[in-house]
Amino acid sequence: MVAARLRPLLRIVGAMSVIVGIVSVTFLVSRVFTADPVNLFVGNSATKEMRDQARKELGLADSLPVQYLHFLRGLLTGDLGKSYLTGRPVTADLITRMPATLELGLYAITLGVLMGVIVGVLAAVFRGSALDGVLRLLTTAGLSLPQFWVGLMLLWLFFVTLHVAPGPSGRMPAGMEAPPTITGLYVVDAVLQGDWATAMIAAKQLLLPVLTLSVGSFAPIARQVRSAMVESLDSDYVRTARAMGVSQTRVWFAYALKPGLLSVLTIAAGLVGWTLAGSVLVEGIFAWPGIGQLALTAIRSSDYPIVQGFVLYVAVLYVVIWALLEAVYTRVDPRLRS
Amino acid sequence: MNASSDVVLDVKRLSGGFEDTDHQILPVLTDVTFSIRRGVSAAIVGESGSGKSITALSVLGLTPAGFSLTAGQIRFEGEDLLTMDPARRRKLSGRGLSMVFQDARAALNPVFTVGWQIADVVRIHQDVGRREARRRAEELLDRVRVPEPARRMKQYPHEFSGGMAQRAMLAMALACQPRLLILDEPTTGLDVTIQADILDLIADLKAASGMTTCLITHDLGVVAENCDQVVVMQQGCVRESGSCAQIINTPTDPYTKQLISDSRLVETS
Amino acid sequence: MATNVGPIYDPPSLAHPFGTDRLGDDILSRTMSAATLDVSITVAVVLLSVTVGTVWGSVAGFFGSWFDYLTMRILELLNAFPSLLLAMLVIAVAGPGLLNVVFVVALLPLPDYVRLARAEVRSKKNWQFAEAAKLVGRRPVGVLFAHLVPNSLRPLLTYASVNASQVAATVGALGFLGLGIQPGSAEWGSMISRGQDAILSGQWWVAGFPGLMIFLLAAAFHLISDAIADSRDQGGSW
Repeated sequence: MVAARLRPLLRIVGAMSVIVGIVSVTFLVSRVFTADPVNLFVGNSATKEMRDQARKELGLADSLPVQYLHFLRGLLTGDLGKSYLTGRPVTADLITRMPATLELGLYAITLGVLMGVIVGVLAAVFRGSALDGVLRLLTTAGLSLPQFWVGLMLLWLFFVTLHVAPGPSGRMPAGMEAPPTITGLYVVDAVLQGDWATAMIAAKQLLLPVLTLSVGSFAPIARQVRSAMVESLDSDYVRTARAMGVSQTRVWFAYALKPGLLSVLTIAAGLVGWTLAGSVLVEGIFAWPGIGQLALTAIRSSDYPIVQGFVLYVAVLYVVIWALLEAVYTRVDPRLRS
Repeated sequence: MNASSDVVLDVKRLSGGFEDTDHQILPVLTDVTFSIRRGVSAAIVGESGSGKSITALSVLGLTPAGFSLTAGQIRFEGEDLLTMDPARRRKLSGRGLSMVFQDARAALNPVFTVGWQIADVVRIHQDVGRREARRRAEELLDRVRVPEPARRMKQYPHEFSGGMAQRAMLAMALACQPRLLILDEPTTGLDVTIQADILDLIADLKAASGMTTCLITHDLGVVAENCDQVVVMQQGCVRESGSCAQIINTPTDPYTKQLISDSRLVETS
Repeated sequence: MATNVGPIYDPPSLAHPFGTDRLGDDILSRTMSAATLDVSITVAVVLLSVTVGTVWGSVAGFFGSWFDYLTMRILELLNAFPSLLLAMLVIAVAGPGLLNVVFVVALLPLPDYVRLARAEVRSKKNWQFAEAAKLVGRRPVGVLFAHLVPNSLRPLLTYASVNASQVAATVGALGFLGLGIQPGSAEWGSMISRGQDAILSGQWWVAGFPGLMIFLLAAAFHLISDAIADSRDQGGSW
């Protein structure tokens, strides 16, 4: 048996090895199985000398193990190389674009979880009723709607036809200045500086992409909340709360909901990955200058340093989310503490 | 009626059952009739499946899904609970009548501390702030003889033993200050010595607060020692009811006689 | 292929119920021919994944030891990555194409099938009929595939049908990103991508109808899954 004190340490080592594993696999795959990236830089008519020159500049002249070592050393110092296309450092690109995706994802997940919990609780409380049936249809629709299509249709409806939402112009309308950076989240920054007008404008820009991303994410939450709630509404402890005269709404939202939140958390954590994948699809539609768009361009043009940076980013995010989740688990469910 | 003033609970010709897949009601209760006088410690006795628990749950309005009452009245302090406005009925639960369940560990919410749960009930029924509610909860735990109440307040139900959890349940019920407390098999599944402690505790609490209690049990021995009024149930029907002494000593119903001889009460008493 | 060339960007009408696109192609007929492609890809992907996953998972669950251990570690690695992103990366590296799409998309739910089959077989490994079959001298592999696997099919089918709806959406997404079968081919995802620009000038039908088809296909699979699950517990859960 491993001493309990060593367990967090082991977990960190485990998480690190998963990250290194994923990154190494991407490295290998991108170097071995793909077309020569040198082709990106020199035309088809290039001479062998020109090609060799380009290869050297890109650091691709060395043998594979040497390249790998260079790559790992860069990784340790936070240097992920330079984009083949723009020549800009990958780390800088990722950092500049992170707030845009973060802002989108944060609101989308919050909205998705909120809607999911409300729908799930209502469906469970009125189970078997017409409302339950309607919510079931709504949830099935949410699970089945292709995100990118929802984005396009929302754009057509609210921007093209009804003119109530702004067009796909990114985080700010064309020609508008972004608020001075504090957190990098435009709405938050604008509010922090008391600039409510700008905050409203930025929030409007967020409206459609956030809605698009949350359409898919509310549904799995709603399903989970409903089944967890149905179970706990029938439980002994909810019966106790009723026998003690706890009010109806308090029974629903405190006594019955909290025990089910654990399973909701697991799904919400999974939603981070789903939302990130969704951002690759949705950012393109709304010209949102985030990481998803960066990754998509890089994938399409074989810009491997960026692709690797993105993979690393996703892997780290995943590992962090799951570690956080485990910490939250034990807070929410005391049974797991012992 | 004058007599109704000292009757707390009056159940008349109560019938009901579970609905099967063809919407037929399979009867579980048939013409259940009994009443409980104010201040007594009553008991409903029967084997499992006799309908005693479902009767109690009907009184509280907490019957499981699929069960429905088809006929009868349940009068609490003279008012029929079944025809009462639901909001008013909900107001009665807790402070009017309350219930303590079998398997207290499962009956407490696993994700809140025991202290939180008791304090929450205190705040619902007594007009006090958060801090005062916690203080009173701790006091209640002390009253039900939970050692180290301050430490126990912060613990979760899974950290409680069965007996301790049942005490916590009692504390929660006391926080409601109910006029009628129904106890559904409160000692089943506990060690014999702990059973005796809990029953003593219930008797003491009853004496101190003056509430009416109704014990639901399969154990005639427990009834003989603790109760003054008994209702015997079998297969959803009341076989016999009356004072404890009368039913134990001179039972008229064959089933009651059977129960008494099975429990070998005759030899011990 | 029949030519359906009509006016460019013609809104839905009797002649072209789904309208026409920027090349004047009839969207209804393109949507229909895409249906064959999308549905067969979806079915192929799910069959492939169910088969490989079930065999792998049952063998791991039945025999345990190092093979089981290795399986679990591989699953952990695969799970550490959001599936659509994984698909995008692999397609980007392997190049678009029908077979590549099928293999890659089949890889995504594989961990779930392996895990399901493994858990089912492990929970039933010691059931009496398995023991009895062993006693009358059947080989372990025979017991596994003749007795254990057929008894584990219901949860696998329920999941397969949910999974089919995700597969339909993933195939569409890959097509939309130009990482699908062949850019420009009659496939719902790439049709939506072709209609993306037309949205801003008001021609909603170009992207609208193919997307609606993805939605309907996915929803159908969800309803089937619900039906399979409901057949056991009488509509109590969704």
